[in-house]
Amino acid sequence: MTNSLDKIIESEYKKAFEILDKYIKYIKEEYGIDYKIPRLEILENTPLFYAHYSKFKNEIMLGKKSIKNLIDKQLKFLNNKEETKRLIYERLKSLGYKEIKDKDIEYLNIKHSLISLLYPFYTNEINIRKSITKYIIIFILLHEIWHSIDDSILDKLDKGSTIKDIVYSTISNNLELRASAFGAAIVFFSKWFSQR
Amino acid sequence: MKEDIELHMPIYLHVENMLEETTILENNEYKNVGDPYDLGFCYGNIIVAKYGSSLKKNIHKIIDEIITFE
Repeated sequence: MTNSLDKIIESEYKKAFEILDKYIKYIKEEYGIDYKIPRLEILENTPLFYAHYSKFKNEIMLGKKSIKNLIDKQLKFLNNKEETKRLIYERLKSLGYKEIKDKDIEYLNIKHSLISLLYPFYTNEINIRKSITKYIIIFILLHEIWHSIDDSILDKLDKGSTIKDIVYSTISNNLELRASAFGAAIVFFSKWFSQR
Repeated sequence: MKEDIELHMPIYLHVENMLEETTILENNEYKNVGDPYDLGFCYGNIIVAKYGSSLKKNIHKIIDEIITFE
């Protein structure tokens, strides 16, 4: 698992920037920021966080131990498949769907401080652990990549430049919110789905 | 088309969850008590719900919305 997790992280990191390439170009041109793609650092024994973006190093650090624990938790959740299916089918029915096709779709159960959410992701039935790992990694990476983009915007503002009507404090007070919003939105419409 | 339906079903389900949770958060004066991670997920999924099938077409608008979010 250790070596394969490294490979998946590296592969998804590369894929994330392939997905984001044209969007990053747009942001650079539209907002005039000097953005440099951060390096990737995989940490072996860091139980305290899944990932962190270091502005000083321009580096995205992923804590392998924490991520592995998260994957294990999700696999346990998926073992309760019948209960999960029941909950999902009830909701879909209430939305008016008559036929439910759940082939190759599974759900992550992500607990936040106030809420618990089900996130859909495509699976490869042959290796569900690999599928779930890829999904978790891309989700985490998109979040951290947005932090690196936000830092480039803040850098420009910090140097006295103006970017449209953006105020420095608006960004700095909402860093986590913005990164989570970006990750949640991008993962749905990115090419990532079609690349499974 | 079939693929679209299969893809969108769980997305809509997810959005439905998010919109409900957002309402709960708002009713609880979320700005004071909410976790920014939660709010970000809600916001991101509201964007998904807002643009629906025209997400890709509006990608630049969506990026602008996130960048200029207040």
